Amino acid sequence: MKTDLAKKASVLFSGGTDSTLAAYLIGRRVRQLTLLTFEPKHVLFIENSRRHVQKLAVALPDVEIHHEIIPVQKNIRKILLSDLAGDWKKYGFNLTALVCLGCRMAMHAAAVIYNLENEIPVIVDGSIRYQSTVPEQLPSFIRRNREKLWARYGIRHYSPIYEVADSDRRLDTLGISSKGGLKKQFILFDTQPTCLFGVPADVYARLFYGALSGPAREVDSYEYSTEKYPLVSKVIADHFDGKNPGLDELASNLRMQSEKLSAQWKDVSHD
Amino acid sequence: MTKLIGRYVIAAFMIPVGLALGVCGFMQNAIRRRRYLEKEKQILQQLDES
Repeated sequence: MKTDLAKKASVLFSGGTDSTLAAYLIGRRVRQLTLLTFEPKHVLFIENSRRHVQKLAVALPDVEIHHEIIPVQKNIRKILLSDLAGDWKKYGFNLTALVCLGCRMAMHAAAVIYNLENEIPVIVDGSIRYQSTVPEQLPSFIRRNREKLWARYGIRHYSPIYEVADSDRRLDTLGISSKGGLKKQFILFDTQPTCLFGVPADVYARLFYGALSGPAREVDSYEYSTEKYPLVSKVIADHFDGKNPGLDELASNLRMQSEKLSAQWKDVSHD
Repeated sequence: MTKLIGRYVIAAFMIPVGLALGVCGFMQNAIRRRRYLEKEKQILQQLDES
């Protein structure tokens, strides 16, 4: 029997196997699921993200599924590109990987706005430990982001598949995959967009920004995100400026719903 | 077929870019290692206090 976590949830959804599995898991516990795909100008084949939406709709027949492709170029300009020269001066070559964190934070700003406007108290993503070489999937960033961003606006965040390394195989078993072995794909993926900057960033993060860099990755991620949070808050505040209901009212409405929910995914009822 | 060629063309350009930047970053992080260790200590202290 399905147990409601909340009536509505959204998913940071690229269409890849991780976010699709995360969407499926949360979709089994809600009545309305919104898949949020963000479109910066520098990604190729954004429409690929639609492939797993159709599969999810079949796998979750009782759930109302919406898929939104949201342009985030303005947010990227205000957050990631706000002071690129200053960032370069401070972080140097490590900016190769940190730009993905800035881009992710620009997407998060758009997700907060969407959730607030549509009264969605829960958001999930497909972050996994296996990819924690990239700053935005570090456990420390995810924890900090829960506190500094999601909780601030009354949104409960979960990373339900963080310890899962074989989402493609699980989707195969569930009959959701569009084809087998999707995790083995690289660049030009079948079910998700390709970010051209993501290729050098991934090479940089995997090979040079882990243990080899000592504490650099953790320190940089902490400082970079701390510098960007005020910009994220400003983007959100500017969006709601002069609107009725205002930001505080919307956030407090969501908080009233999300406070009742478990803080940890493992404590969510899985009946 | 186009996709397969595209994949390898992108990889042929972008992976060496990542490797070149990575080698530079590796040297940069080695030079800044002491500074990073100090900053790490400060951050942990800040987090403990809060």
